[in-house]
Amino acid sequence: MRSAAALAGLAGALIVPVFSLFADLGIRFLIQGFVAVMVGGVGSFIGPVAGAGVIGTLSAALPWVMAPVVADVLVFVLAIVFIKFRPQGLIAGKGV
Amino acid sequence: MVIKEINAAGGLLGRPLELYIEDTASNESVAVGNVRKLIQRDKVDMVLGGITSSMRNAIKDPIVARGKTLYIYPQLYEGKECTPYLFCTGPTPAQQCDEFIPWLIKNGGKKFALPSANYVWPHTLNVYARKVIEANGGEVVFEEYYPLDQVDFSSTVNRIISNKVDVVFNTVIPPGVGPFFKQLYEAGFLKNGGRLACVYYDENTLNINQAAEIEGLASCLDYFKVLTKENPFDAKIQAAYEKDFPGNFLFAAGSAATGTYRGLKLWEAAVKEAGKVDRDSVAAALDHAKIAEGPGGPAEMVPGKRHCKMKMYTAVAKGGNYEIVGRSDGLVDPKEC
Repeated sequence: MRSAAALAGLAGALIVPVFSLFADLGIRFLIQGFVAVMVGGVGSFIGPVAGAGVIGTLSAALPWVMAPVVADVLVFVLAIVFIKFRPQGLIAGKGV
Repeated sequence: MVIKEINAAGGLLGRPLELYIEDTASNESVAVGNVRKLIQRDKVDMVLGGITSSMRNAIKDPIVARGKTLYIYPQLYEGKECTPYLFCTGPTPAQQCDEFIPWLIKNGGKKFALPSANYVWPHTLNVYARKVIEANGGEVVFEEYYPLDQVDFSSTVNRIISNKVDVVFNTVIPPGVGPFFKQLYEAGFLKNGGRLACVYYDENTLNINQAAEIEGLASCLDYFKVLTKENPFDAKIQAAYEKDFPGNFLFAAGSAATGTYRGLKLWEAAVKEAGKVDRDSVAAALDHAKIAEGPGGPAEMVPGKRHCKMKMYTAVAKGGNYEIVGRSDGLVDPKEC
């Protein structure tokens, strides 16, 4: 629990210099983080990390090849389709 | 501030003005509720407000159609708003682009990029801007739309740098614009001679980024604070505002402050001419109302068009402050409706 809070604080500190600080800065990352955990799988440490890697890469890379508005939606569509076929996520853990 | 001044001078038609302020929390659903309350419970004679075009579109029907009340919209926008009883006192694309884009081509270059927020104002403004850019020999290298909460612009910055874009005609709005300009600066866009252009950028938005990140940014508005050095009337309004409202919310043209001032004074003139406050009389008088003094200069409503002629100024950000580099020859026609 404490290491989770510490990691969250570290994430915030890493995000601000790249993206400039404003009140709703966290919301976009909150949603992406949630999807990353769903895709990566709960119950282990490496699951959400793998999920974050996949979601982060997709949402940064897709705008390079298609319209950003389409890319934004496509990341969620792909995540939903993936979870439908593999509900336990990328790396199945021991359960919450 | 304006209401206070009018009331101090004896009010309008001998009666004091009552101001009802509502906070929409930048949320269109909340705004519709606020507006219904103002009209049905408070029975206001005129509603002035709304900033984003999505907000204006959300509240115009409850005010003008179902509410049968006058609506004055004070902010710069994309044009094409021709609803009866809706008067616009902010700059239109014709006022912001016709002289500004030729200046940008001469002082920036011919290759334009149009990174934009995904809603009605950028879409419609870009259609007009593209026309003016191409008519003046410029080229639109790309035009792209981003979700309103996007903060990662790496693909956009890459496209701008690799296509050697000269002018970034930006319509990304806060909160995305701060990270966008920062990422552009860090990729070396300004160092390689690029020019940023943003028609809503005023003294309030100057504070979003570090001065170096927006050096040379050009904007075209109806008023800049630096005009207070040469126009005594502008100095008077600016000083009165800063005395009443010291702090971070500055009196600036991109933030609807000048449109609000103009709207209230034109309405005051219209009510005085009509002699009554019912909607039709005031609207008929407001249709051709003029004020001899306003922020940036005088203003006149164009009869039949419900839009306002005003003086326009082109300014460039240098070291965190604006410098005027161009002025219109007189009052510029809004060319709407």
